[in-house]
Amino acid sequence: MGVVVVQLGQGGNQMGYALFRCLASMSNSLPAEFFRSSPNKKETKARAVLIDMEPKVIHGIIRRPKYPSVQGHRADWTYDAHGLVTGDSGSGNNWARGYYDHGPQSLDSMMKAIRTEVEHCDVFGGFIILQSMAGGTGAGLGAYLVEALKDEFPSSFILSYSIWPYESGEIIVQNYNVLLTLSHLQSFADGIIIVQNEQLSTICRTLLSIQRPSFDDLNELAVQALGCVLLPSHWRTVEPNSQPTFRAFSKSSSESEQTIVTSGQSGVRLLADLLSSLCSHPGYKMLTLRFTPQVPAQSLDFTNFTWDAQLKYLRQMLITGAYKELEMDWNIKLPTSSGHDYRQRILSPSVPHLMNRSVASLLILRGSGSDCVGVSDFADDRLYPIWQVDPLSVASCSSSYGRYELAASLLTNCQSSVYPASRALTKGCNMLASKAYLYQYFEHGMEYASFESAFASVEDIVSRYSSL
Amino acid sequence: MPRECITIQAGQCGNQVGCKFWESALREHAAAAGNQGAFFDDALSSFFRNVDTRYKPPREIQPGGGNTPIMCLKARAVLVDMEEGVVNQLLKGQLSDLFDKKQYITDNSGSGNNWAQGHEFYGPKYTESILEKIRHEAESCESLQSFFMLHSLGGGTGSGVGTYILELLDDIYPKVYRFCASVFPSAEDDHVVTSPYNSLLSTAKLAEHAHCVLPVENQALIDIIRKRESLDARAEAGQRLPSSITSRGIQGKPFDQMNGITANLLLHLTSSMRFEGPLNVDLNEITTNLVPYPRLHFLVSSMAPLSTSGRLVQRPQAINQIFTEVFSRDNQHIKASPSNYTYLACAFLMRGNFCTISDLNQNISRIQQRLHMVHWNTEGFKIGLCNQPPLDSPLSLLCLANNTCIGSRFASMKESFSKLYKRKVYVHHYTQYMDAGVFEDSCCQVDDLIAEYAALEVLRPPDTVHRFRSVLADII
Repeated sequence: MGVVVVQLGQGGNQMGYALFRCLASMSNSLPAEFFRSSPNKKETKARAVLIDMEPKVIHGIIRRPKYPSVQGHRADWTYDAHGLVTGDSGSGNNWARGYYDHGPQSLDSMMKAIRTEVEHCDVFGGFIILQSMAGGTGAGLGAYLVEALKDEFPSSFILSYSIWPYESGEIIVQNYNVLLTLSHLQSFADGIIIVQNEQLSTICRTLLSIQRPSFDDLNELAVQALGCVLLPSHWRTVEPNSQPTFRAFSKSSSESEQTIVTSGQSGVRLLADLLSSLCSHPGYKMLTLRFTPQVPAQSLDFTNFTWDAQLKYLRQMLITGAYKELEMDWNIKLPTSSGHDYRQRILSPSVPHLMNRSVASLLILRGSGSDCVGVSDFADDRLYPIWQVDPLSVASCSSSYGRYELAASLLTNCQSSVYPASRALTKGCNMLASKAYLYQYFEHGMEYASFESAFASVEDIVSRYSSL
Repeated sequence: MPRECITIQAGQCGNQVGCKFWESALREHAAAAGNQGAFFDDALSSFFRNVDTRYKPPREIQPGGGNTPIMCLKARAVLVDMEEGVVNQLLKGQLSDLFDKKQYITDNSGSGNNWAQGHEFYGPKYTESILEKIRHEAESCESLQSFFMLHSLGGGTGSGVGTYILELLDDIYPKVYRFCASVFPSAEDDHVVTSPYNSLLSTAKLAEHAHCVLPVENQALIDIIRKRESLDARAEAGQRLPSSITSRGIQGKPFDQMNGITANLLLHLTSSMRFEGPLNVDLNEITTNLVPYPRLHFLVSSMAPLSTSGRLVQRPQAINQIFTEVFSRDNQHIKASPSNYTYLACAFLMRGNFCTISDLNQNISRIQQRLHMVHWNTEGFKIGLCNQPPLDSPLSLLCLANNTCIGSRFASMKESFSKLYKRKVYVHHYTQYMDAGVFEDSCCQVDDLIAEYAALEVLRPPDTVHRFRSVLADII
């Protein structure tokens, strides 16, 4: 039972380091899906492969301390030295260089390291890819690698956790790069979680009292939400019902049967369950991750959390497509008219929309009382299209999540996932029309037609979601 | 496994700037090593080689795990000058150990401030020698990333031989990036009569064979130094300062300090390659982000803060102030005002420990509204963050901009050229070595450049942008 995490590029590696620290610190024992003991049983190693085309970042990470500073108790782990793949020259933010040059050149060494790591798993559960979508290595090499992985491990699941850059600009060619990467991920990955730097930064500044968030702060926040999803939990399925009230779970209720699968025991199902419930339709793979509570670390001990309140925020976030608990539009409610004639308007991120429609949702609850909480509100079929028969999956775990007494992560396949792509398309087309920067891609063997097909496939994704 | 840079210094100015650069680089790495003492690590390896001089020939020592002790550092550099004075001075001075015999080429008589003599006579004469020395340096590199050319455009050697070497590099090492820090002659204060010819002829070559050019103007540097002195004087509040102007050269120019500024520019540019940081920017990333069309690769640079008195306090407000300063006309390294022209792309490279990505982003959103960006690149900002501060300040910002103001600079250079060329003064010196047609060709090339920049200056967004029809649109 193992999931292999592949960290690509500077962004992916920095995030991966934060993720393993989070997984180690937020639970009482190191989860077996993500850690294994070395053959001599003395050390614990992360199931990870680190790839970068320049050595500095990976060397920096290897040297940093592994025991978490969050919990206080030490849980030592290290990266396996055989799982490091580095190049010399960097990709220079050039997607084509990452895809056409470094991809084929490094394919052998990358696949060797990955195969070794996969062989260490008793039962292999799939890949999680950590990358940034705007650069050269994470984006270009990442796209090439995902294709290669799907080729070599055709029945394995691939979930990507991809960083979307600040829209005020981190890299000038980022619009080209994110669209090229997204089109490849759509073809070869099974699920794509987009995490936006800008949203993380706003949450840090407005809710977490971190005035000047650094990349470390953003990474900590991002992996906190993901860790909540990945740590072991008990799964149950909930039948949809359209009565909009919170109902306490009771064993003798008239709800239909619940099936419970404990993912900690048969960890092979973690990604399988997640992706088959959320991304069962091949046209809809874009996921958004929301986490609650969003409270500064210093206030955690003094705030009183209740399930009702947290889930209320989370539900409204889902309905409005918001990502933070503040300044939500509580006027947006589920329509009260019966029948299924409330089609969403054409998706346009600048026009305020009525409601954020979703394809499927996964709710993970951690903390005492989490298995008794009524979650049928999240299964309300006004949120979902007609053809979705089983929209909501729920998992819970009664142990607290780090310092949070109660925590919940909501992973949804919904329209808000494609807003950034839609904006990138506008800017990307504009730049493409003036042919700026194209020579750098053509130098490495790319053609104009590749741009056209990539942009067209992202247009497809956006229009599919807007027609939900 | 670092990415190495080989520096090529051509001509008097190039070698003097180079001297200053090596001196500052050594001090910077020493400061970074701090109390642990200096080891030959990847950071040092990008600019220096480590040799064991007990052996003959001296044995190369690789960086290894970063714990290798330093035996004898040699600069990865090739020094070229057609007269011996400057290089000999360098070899007799403090830095003599940095260079060995296989690294320099000199001649006796100089190029007489004649581009053609440099390019058409000395260039071909020394081709074998130059290539051999460069090959020697390149062989000791594990993964050569770029060449740095330091030269001035107004004289004979730096401009003529320098651009000749650039062409050779384009031929033999096409995939290695070629960066040039080129000192343009000042319009006002120039004692070399033929410099308009030299600079135009060089510019044409730079447009064709360089990947990226950082133009620097003497007059701008002098103004920066004057401004810096007045800031320092104010900071010292009336205290009598010792004269900080050393080594005044011809007509009282503070050449040492001017070279210091150029050296500082190069150090800052390469800081992310040599030291760690949350957002690294390599040299190849500079080209990828800032050069939208291959020939428009002339970047206007500016740095802040100017004041080196160390009075800078570590506060976030200081960052805002630095960002504002970097756009001021006084901070630019060429005499132009980019804020009045169109930006094609812009990069901000910050050095210092306490600046975070959010500070940079906030400032960029603030600045963005005041700048005129070309319509297809309204968020055209590249950010770099390096942890290691520079020597003289806890914080420093370098702004590299691809801006159409350089087009106007070229236009005035073309004008000075035409004034001379109309009357064919001094042309016979050049036609001794080359065909007069070279003048015409170079003129055309520079005209093209000026036109391209001018077109981008007045570019307006189109009415409709072509969107790609989604495949499903036909089906649904």
